[in-house]
Amino acid sequence: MNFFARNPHVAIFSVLLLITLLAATALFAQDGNDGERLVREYRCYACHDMTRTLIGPPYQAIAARHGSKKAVMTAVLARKILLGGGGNWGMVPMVPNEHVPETDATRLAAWILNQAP
Amino acid sequence: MTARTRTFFRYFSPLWLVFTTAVVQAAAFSGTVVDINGKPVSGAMVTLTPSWPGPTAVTAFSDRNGQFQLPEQANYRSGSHFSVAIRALGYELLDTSVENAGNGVSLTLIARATANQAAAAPASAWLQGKADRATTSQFVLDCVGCHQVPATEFRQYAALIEQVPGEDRDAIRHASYDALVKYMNFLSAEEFSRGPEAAELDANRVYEVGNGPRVIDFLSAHFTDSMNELSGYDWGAPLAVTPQTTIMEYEVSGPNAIREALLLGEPKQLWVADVASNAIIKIDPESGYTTAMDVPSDTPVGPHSLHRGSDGSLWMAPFITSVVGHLDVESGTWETWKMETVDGTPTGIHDLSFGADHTLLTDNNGLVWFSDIVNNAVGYLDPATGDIDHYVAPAVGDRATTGTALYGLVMTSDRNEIWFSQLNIGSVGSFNVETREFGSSFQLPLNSGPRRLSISDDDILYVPLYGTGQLIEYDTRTNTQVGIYDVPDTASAPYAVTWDPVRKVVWIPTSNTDVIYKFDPADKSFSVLPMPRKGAFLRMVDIDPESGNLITSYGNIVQNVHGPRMAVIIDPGDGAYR
Repeated sequence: MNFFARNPHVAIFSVLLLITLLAATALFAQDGNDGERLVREYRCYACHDMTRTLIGPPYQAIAARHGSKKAVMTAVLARKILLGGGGNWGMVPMVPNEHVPETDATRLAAWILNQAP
Repeated sequence: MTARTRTFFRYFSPLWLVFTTAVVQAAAFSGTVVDINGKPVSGAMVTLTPSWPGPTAVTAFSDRNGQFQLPEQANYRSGSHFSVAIRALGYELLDTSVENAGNGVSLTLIARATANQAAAAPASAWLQGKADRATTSQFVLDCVGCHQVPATEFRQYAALIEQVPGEDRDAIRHASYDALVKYMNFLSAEEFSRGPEAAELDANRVYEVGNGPRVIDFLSAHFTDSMNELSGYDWGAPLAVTPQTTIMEYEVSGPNAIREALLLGEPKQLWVADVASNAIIKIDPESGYTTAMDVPSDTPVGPHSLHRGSDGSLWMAPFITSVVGHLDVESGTWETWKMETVDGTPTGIHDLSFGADHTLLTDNNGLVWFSDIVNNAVGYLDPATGDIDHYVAPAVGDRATTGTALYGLVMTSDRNEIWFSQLNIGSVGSFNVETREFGSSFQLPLNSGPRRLSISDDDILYVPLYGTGQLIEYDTRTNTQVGIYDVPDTASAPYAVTWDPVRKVVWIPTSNTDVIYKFDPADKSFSVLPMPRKGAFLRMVDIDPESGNLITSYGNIVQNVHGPRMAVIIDPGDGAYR
């Protein structure tokens, strides 16, 4: 009898964990196309690019720095998009973007965090 | 609340109310503004934002006893939602109580006196005492041509800069304002490059800052705190209001870049140019409903300047070289003329010739004259044949001969002469339309910024100086300057002047102070007609010849500047046209 047969609670937990992780990955993966559309709509490209540093850091660098803490950083980045502020990527603050609805800011944050190279 | 309504209500802080008492069909909204000791507050703007059809917002001013009376609300039904706000320097609205009063709604607004004017003061308030006249004028010309500075979003950014940790505050400010100017240049280059011939936008190329170093130095030197506290500002002149003064604002939903507005037709409708499209937008003042009507053209137009014909028709001059349009308002039919000279040169255009009553004027041969802003020229259009030609203005001393922005244009009462301004070289000149020769001119400092002109019945020319915040009064019959006057706030960026043939005054809309000044040539005095809305980027004012109401608009240009986009009808409340 293998380990999982002898410990069915572990087996069940593992399966549930796998399903949750797959679902979460799927959820984040879904934001790929939507993020590109939102970036165009709110004109984030004025300061941000996928790989190059323009006025602000590239999405890939943001994802690389914060991508391991998506649960927390999605909410943090969404708030950052709305309120602006600086100090994390040099001395220049990001402008506030109060005209972006909160739901779109959250979707943008999720998409950005998914952009690790 | 959608982002759009959230942005809309950022310009003042309303208190939402639900009128829940007995079923009454109330139509009259009136009341009193008092402070927390019960003392009346006079000169406060009280703004009602209804949920029923009509203007988006209606404003009246409180009198010496704190009392105000808003225009009758015909479409009000008992139980309808509305909100009330005030704009008064040195006050904020604390509480509102609502009562039935016969067939009306009675409002008691309790305001708290506050030393911090940041909520009510206009953008120009933050420029007072910052730098000398020449430096401030240059800054206004560099920046306020497109938007108010420092507007609310700018002040939010200044506060964020102050929160960035670091020793070298000057380096942080310079880097931050440099980034801000680049961001802004990129967005405006993108917005203004619309159209089929627009070049592909190159992010590296548009990060040019033009006068950037000068602007960035000014911003870093003078905006060095969180910009959320301001005191000591006042309008600088008495209020030009009465208890009957009312302001009716009509929002035009974006995206758009609405500009000038006229009141025309039977029944009277508001006609508003949208320079970001091909459309003239029509607004019904009774219901507030809007419809867009395209100028017939197979190329982008960007309707910009509107002129009233003396027959009640509408003349339109475009921003983009395309067609001049003439609309018969009754039948809805357009006549258009392609803007190129008889030998095929495209002409620019800014203003069409008009006279003392602000209606389109032709010369004695039936020609319409215009300011050719692209070619530093004055031009004519023969509406009968469609012929267009232009005459390039002579050089002025050693000032530039290209990029002069030949801008405003008016015609004298004998229709023999036109006067024009050249915004970028600080010059005002004349042209004889009979002899086709340029005549006398006068020069101003380069940072003066003369823009839209007006002329009185006695051929006195009025010139607003956008940069230095002044008004010039000049007698074209004797070629002498009558006077040059500081407007009450010299950082207000006065954009245009409109002679009022009945009141015999000059109305001066400003772009940076949310006010219209009234100048009385009899005693050279100024008074102030403030607007209830922050970000009131005023451009042109027209006067409805029947009612004497002022017709204007908040023409915020750049989409990323989330300023109000509204057409406005103002009844000065003096009964002057009855």
